Amino acid sequence: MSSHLEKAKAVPDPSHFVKRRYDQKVFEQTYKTIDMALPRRIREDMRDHFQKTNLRRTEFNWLMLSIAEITSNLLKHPVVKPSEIEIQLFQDDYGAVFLDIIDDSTPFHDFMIEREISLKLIDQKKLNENGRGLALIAKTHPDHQYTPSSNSDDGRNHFSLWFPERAKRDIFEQKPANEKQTLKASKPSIFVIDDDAVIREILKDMLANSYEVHLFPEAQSALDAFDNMKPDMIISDLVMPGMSGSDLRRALSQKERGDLIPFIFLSANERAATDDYINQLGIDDYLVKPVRKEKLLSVIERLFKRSDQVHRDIKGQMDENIASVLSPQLPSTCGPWEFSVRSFAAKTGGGDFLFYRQDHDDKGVKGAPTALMTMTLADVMGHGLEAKFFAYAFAGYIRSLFMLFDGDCKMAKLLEYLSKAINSDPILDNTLITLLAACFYDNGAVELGCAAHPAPFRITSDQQTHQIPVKGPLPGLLGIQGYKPYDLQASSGDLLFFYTDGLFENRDGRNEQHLEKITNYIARHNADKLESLSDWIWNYHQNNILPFQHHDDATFVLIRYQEAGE
Amino acid sequence: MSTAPLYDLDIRDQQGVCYLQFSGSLDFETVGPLRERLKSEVSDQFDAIIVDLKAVEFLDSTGVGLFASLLKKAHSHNKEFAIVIQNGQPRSVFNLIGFDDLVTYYEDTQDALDALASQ
Repeated sequence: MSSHLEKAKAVPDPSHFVKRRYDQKVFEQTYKTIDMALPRRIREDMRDHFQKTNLRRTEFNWLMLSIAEITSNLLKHPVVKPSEIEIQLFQDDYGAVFLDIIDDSTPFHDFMIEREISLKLIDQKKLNENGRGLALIAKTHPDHQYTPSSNSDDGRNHFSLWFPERAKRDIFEQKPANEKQTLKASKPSIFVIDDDAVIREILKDMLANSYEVHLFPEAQSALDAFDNMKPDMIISDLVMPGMSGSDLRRALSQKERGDLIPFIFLSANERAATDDYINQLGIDDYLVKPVRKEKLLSVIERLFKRSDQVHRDIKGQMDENIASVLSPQLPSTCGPWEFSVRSFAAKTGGGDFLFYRQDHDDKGVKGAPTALMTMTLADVMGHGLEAKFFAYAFAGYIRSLFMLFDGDCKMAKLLEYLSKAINSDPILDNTLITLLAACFYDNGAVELGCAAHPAPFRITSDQQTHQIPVKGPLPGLLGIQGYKPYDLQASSGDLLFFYTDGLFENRDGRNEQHLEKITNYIARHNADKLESLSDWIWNYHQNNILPFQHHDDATFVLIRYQEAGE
Repeated sequence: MSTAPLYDLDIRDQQGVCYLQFSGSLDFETVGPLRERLKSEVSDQFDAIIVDLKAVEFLDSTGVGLFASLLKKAHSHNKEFAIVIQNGQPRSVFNLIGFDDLVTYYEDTQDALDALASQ
């Protein structure tokens, strides 16, 4: 049976890595023909493995670029060229990737100095050809490490990179409950608690090859250390002076994630295993002393596997629920209106949501315009996994209010209604949410209401672009607000562009430029099919914005008004 | 079994503009031969250079170097320089390295020709 250690990727210089377990080997290949075609051959070999990774296409493309740059450097620069180059690609359960390029050439001793010089030259637009490759690697994969053969365990050079970096790839934050939030050793850690020093040392000898073992002579000190050290498993004697093993189990149940930690009791008392009170404690296994090494390792391995499965099941179910509820949807047409929506849902952080309801409100007045559809685009702000769950819950709440609202399609009233609800509920009082509400009429009229949401754009058929001057305060900020409606009369062929902040907010500081490029493109191609326009915008976002983006949902809606017969 | 060529370069005189249409991969393997062709076939007689990268699938730093050389050459001879490029890997690489601040991108060739004609 393979242990966690055997499956773990051994990193060459542990002091520099955010150590994780990358236990899925996606790709491994040794290349002995070292020529100019090698970067391409590697690219072609790896291309078939894209489906095995959980990477986005853009991220995979960046990975291919870094591999090309690193291998090209190995072909160009070393005094003694490599006789072989080995490529290894690992990933963990959440799709985080670890790439290792291993070679036996003369090492680059000034790698980090050259890298810094390259970055400066790039920033100054002094495009030195050799340094450009290093700068590209540094920019696409900030988490990287070059370990020359003199410092590595196997006497070969390692160029390693690992990503997604935390800010770029939110899923990275979504760790299993039994994984530490801080720097973690590559071995799973186990607390061993026994008042008998000899037993402690025997257990340590049995486990130390495969696990990081922490010994405690009594339960209270283990309990005190639990929050900081966050072990992956606990093995505890049952009967000890002071706090007993069963007391420890109960105390852990009160702690965050305490119930999820695999727990094994050790005792000399075989009968204790059948005691009801022990069975009710939620322990995972019970071993009678003296325990054989093979038996102990087998039980630990089985419990780790089961624990991993439980976490995966929970995570998978939650992801599915979140995705289905928050997934924005609109009808493709409603009367003379045509709609197209695209959305990217980050796994953590706040959430975007989009609701609509079709109305048939002609108020009984002959000849009066008829309200066809009401739509609300919202962005709940927040960070971390909790914010995602909150957005999920909040989406349901807002949806209920939205569906029940009976305000004659008055968007300002709808926002006041939501603002009042948020303000009056202490649970929602600290919520940061932006909303854009719109009601579409059969004659091209649109009534808009805005609560601190980015103002939408109107692109006319003669290619003029205007940001619609609709604005209002954050909902709930000061209770009932005087939201002002904005009435717009669209002409046939006009496009409206609604979006959430996540579409443009990124770390390259060029939000305005990106927005301008997209709206200009829409203007120049305003007669194109709506879906084609959306595809272009989406591709632009994926290629030029998303790679530099903090984790956030991104949503946009393109809307066209077309009079009947045109 | 036929395979797509690794790269291709079509050099044309289009309305007095040197039009360079690249395709395939522009990387460590292909840039050497491409550089030789450009050196022997692109004269200084043109008023402007349009580089069309719409059909380029992969670009690395060596490929960027090729265009940096072309750009320098164009500037040193007071020639206009434009790149026709769409969303995709090559454009992302250019943006990352700051190339987009040095040249003007166009979505299609006609846009580039129109822009150069109006200058």
